[in-house]
Amino acid sequence: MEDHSIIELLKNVGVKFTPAFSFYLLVILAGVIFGLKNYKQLNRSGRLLTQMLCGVFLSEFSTRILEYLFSNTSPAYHFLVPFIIFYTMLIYLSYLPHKKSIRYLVILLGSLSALLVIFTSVVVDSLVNFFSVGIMTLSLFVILNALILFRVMLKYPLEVHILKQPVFWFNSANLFFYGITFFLFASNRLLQENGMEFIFNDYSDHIIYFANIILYSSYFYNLLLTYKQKSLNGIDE
Amino acid sequence: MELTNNILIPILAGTALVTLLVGFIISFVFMYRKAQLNFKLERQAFQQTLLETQVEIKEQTLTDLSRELHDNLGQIASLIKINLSMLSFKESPENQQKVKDSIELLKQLIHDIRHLSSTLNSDNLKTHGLIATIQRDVEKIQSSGFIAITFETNTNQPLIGFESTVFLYRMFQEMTNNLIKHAQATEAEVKISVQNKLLTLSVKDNGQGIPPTVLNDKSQGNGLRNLEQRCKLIGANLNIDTAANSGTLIEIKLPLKA
Repeated sequence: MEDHSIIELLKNVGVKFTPAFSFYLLVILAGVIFGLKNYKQLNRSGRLLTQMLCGVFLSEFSTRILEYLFSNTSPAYHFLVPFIIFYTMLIYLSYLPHKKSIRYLVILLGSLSALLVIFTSVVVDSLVNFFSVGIMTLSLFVILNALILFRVMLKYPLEVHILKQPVFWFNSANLFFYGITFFLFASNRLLQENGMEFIFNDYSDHIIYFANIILYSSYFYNLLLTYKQKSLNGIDE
Repeated sequence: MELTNNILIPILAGTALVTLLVGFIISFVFMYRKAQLNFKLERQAFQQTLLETQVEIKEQTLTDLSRELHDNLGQIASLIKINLSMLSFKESPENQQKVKDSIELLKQLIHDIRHLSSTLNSDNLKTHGLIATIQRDVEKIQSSGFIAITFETNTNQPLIGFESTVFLYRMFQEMTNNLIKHAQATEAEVKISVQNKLLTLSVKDNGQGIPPTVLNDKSQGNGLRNLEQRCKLIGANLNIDTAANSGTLIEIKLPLKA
């Protein structure tokens, strides 16, 4: 009887893993496995990215259980967003060793974003509400970092072809994904506040899904390049 | 109509956003490549200046050393020779012979100092020009009896700047030094020709050839690397044709501006 109920439970949870979501998880998992397998050969940014991917994978996996138990995945994002802010800040710091002022700026932006996100999560927003303020803050933080890093890259170019630099894939994917995310969430909030219907609803899920696939594929490629060219890892180290 | 708008606006806005982001990243790639190119040119210019400065310092050091040899050591040696000549040893023919020998050695020393001084000093190049200086050096090597060496040219005064003249002369010295020290050759020929606005300085020998280990040695002290660097600095090309026991031909081709 007990065995039967466990099978039923797994079946019900399993339904939540749609093919599209499973593919998304597999893309993240590829980065996790590759990063962990070659962890010792990776440099600081590669190791941090692997750790972040592990957290993202566990969080995304847990959303299926939350979906089954409470029909709500929002609580996972209340924890995931500050986690990503923290790790993104560390990764950008490892890519920006040049100027103290820029490093302080990244730390300041990261700290402010993290404080705002934690404050909103604890005081303003309920855990069961979708964490749009947190995601928008995260997006804005990453976009600013991406632009800062692009500027530093232009100032200190390397001889290596840009497409062979792991830092380029990490940064471009971040700008692409968080640019789209920020635009969608900001326009949604703006329309809602003006009492208008969000016209992107039907499309935003698909757009964000594909942007996610591009983001995590680029992270994987970043790890691959980092592993291949430890000594030529962008402006890192 | 409203339905069309509801579909069109998100599609257009989404496409515009993606295009904008992708466009930004693509334009960044182009900007980065331009920055890479500028950085490369800046670094090359810096290296060029650094090399020129190194060569200038080296040349100045050689000139100073040459002056010191000529004005100080040479003078002292001459004075010792005069003093020794003034000594008389009527009662001691044995000592007299020793003094005579010393005078001969001093003569040789003075000759060597003068020779070394003139070799190091690039002022001679100013006075006599490249062709005459090289011809004189070839004659000196020939008269030493160490090797049968010939000199051929079709020009008297090639139209090149003094800096290039010094560089070519230093390279000629490097090549003949290598020839004497390492080539184990019995015959050699030096040629300077000007044809189709191209000056060619070549040294050919029938020696043992340059070993591949030396040819591929990238260390700074390597004479061939020095030749390469100097050629680069004056915009000349260096060709080395060598094989084991089949001799060596080294050619320096310098395009003439006028």
